[in-house]
Amino acid sequence: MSTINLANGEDSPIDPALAEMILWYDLHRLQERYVSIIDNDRLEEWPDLFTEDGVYEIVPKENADLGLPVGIMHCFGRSMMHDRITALRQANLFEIHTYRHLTSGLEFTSVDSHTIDLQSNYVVIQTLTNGDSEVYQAGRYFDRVVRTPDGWRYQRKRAVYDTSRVQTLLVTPV
Amino acid sequence: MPADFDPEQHGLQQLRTDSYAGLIFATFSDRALSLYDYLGPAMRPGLDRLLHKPVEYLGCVRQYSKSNWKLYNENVRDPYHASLLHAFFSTFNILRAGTRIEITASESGLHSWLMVFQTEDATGGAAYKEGKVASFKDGLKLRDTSMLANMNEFEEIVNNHIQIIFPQLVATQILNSLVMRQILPKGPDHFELIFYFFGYADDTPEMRLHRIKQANLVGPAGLVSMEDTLATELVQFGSAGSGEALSVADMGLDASEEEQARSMISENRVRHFWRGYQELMGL
Repeated sequence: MSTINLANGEDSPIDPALAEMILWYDLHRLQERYVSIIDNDRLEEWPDLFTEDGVYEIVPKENADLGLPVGIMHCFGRSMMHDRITALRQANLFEIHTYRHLTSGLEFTSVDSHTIDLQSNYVVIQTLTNGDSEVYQAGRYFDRVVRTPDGWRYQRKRAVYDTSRVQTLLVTPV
Repeated sequence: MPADFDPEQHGLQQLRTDSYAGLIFATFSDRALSLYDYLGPAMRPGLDRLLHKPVEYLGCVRQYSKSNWKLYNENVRDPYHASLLHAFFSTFNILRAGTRIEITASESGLHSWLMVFQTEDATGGAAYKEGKVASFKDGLKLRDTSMLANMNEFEEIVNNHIQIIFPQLVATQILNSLVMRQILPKGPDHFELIFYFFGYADDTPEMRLHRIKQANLVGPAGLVSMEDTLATELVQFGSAGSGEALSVADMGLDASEEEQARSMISENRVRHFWRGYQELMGL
């Protein structure tokens, strides 16, 4: 028998298969919420899905494969994520665009009862003002999530992209 | 294959290669100067400055632009666009029009080197505020300003070292971000821009983390410079349909060469570039 954390804060015994289904549901829901916030331009809410010291990075696969640290976006802590959004809203110049994320193949392994490592594939289709929708980036998320009083939150989210070149620029997180 | 076919005689074309301070160059030309002379006395000190001790490669990122590679050559040579286009430069005083600078050009005009020294602006950017310069964002505040720190690691505090070795290399230091940019033309209407990040082998762990943090400043998602490729695309888009039409802006032409080398508001390096290009191409 496993246990499940109920809304009233008490642990209750539960069938392990059911516990895994609930966990899968929770993690999937976190991912769907993440995607919804980005794709529907509610970017101010984006840092809320991370822990205060959470890390968000976008790194090309060619560097990740070689163990090289540099990527195109590195946010250490929620403050830097907020700053990214502030810059997007006030400072940076870019063409109006929308993203649509498609994700698949969610896999996870438990590190401990409050920490899970997650992986999934993502494709971002970008539509610019000319109306063409094109694959902007394909890659894989490498995430670590932790259980918090507010639910599961990203402690680390690393988007490792296969697409070699970024078309023109990247201002919106993936 | 005929019996007398000798693979030794049919290899790939060998390029002339040479290196300077660890940077490897190649050319198809038999007549080009030696690398040492091609860089020349005006440019070598800049590369010596950035590569004065062993480096460690930190990875590369790639950006693709739907515009001609020479537009990017202009972009990195014109010092005034930075504080007009990039809000991070003007708002956080990394670079403003009144900042003390030094511009060095090679004799050919094709290479050039801009140094931007950290300069106090007692007015807090008043000229930008009063002039209503769009890039100056009075309300732009960061929650975490550590990304903008310049941990001094050279003799003098330099915010920007932007050095162009024609045709492809742009050697840069922006605060503590060290990058060699490579311009790869992909036909007349596209180019790829590769940013090779590096640190020094003796970086402390704190400095290394700081450099990764400052990787946010440049590259395709660079907070201070992501707009560059968009700007070149707008120029390409705007000029492509204009055929033989031309417009001329004689910016800073009244000033002497010496004055222009100390002024941010000058297109001198762009003119030097085109003069050098014209000569090189026999136009």
